[in-house]
Amino acid sequence: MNKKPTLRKRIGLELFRRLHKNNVKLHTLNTLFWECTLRCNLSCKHCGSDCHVSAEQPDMPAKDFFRVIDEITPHVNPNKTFIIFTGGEALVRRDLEACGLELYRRGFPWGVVSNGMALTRKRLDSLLAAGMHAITISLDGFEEAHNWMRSSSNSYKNALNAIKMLVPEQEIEWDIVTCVNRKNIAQLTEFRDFLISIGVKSWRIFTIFPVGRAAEYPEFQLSDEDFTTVLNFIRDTRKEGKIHLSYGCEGFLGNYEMEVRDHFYTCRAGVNVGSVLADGAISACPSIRANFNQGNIYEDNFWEVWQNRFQSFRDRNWMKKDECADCNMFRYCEGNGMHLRDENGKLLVCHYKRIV
Amino acid sequence: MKKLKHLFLKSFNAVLMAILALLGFANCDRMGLDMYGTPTPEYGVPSVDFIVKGKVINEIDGKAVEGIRISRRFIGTVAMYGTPTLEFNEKSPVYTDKDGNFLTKLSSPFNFSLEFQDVDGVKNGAFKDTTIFVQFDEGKHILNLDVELKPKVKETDE
Ligand code: SF4
Ligand code: SF4
Repeated sequence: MNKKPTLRKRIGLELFRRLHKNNVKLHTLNTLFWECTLRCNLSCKHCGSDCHVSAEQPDMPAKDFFRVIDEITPHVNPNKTFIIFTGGEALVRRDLEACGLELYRRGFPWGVVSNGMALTRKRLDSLLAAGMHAITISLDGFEEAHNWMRSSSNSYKNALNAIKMLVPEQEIEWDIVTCVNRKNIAQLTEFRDFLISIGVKSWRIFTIFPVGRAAEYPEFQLSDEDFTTVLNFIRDTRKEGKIHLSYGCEGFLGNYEMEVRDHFYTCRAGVNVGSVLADGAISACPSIRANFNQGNIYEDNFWEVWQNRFQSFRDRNWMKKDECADCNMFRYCEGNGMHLRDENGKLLVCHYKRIV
Repeated sequence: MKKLKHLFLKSFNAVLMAILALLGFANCDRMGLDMYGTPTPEYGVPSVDFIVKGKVINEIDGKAVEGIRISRRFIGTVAMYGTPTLEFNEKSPVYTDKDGNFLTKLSSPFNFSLEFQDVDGVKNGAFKDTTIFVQFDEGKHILNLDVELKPKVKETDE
């Protein structure tokens, strides 16, 4: 497929661009991550959350996070403000259910991102009883590929058990995320068929990128051909309609826009997505570099920061430099996702240019 | 002023979404149109609604009733709109199918009631309106709600 957007796509992109600009003006906070711990029961090679803060960081007391909830509550519609517990591994926190139930009572939907290691039947039941709305489990391919990626010999077994427990659950939304890398790309088709066979309905793929620990494993980066193969695979799988597969939110994808995701590319970081990181830092998606932190809950009022800062997130013109400077897709891409900018604001990867 | 600006931007977005849908760029249902432009971020989780589903039957003979309109009514504080209390009918009602079944989604387990209205006249029988305040068990996202409607007594019968 030619990567340049067709005329019809261009029209769609132009309209969506306008829509995004309006959203930037509205900057409605509708997703709030809480990096509730940096402790983890695994040591994944592609982990993006370890690069800016030390794992020695103690868990944030729940009351400190709830002060943030108090600060935002008068200004948001709680029912439409999704709270996502992330880590580290969120499930290592024993008070997760207590926090979740309190959010449920206050009307905030909440969910968890997990590697599935600690998701036993008992734990799942207690999370459900605390009103958990959604859960995402990472599964990076079949046993060998997954265990290698996760550096643990029983991580696959545990994650798969967790998924099998989720299959019959009617009350929650859940999906699987897979980080595609050179180690698992050859088995993608088989893996998809396997997921369908065990009853997975919703699957998200992202591609390994050289950030965090993944940067230490250059040999597992995908080639441009591989990357394009992944996009074609997603497009074809979506056409088949047996599983709802999407590419992750990062990266403008030219003519693949609307073919591999349900929406046009947009980076919502700082526009609709905020976060409270383990050390109290206020940011957007948790994998964004620390130099983009906008404040700290121990010094600032979260809502004031959300309202008055985040300029570099809402006006991306500063990204129009280096290889983005004369890119004719900048109108739609705005220099790729915030998490793909390094400490100096330099672009780490351009998805569009990788498409062959 | 700010409220007006927000209202304008939201309406503008609704128009843009409608045009995008006309061009065949409609989002799939699971994201909902108001979520256009708010995809699941990487490492995020998919968002969900609260679901109320059930069957509507005739109180007298227990038979399923087709074509009953179910509207969602929100009663409560919506801080976002800056007013202390507000009551409004949510858009897009649903209708019972030929077996009397319905399914509707709510954005919250609190402060919603459902209005069951017979809007097709005597077709499928004539029934009195019923309003039910929705109550989910704590921690639950799905509520099974079977509803019995009282038939209207026709004036000519009286
Ligand atoms: S060069 Fe920059 S603006 Fe152009 S597509 Fe790549 S990341 Fe986006
Ligand atoms: S920062 Fe990255 S993960 Fe977050 S919304 Fe933007 S593209 Fe997605």
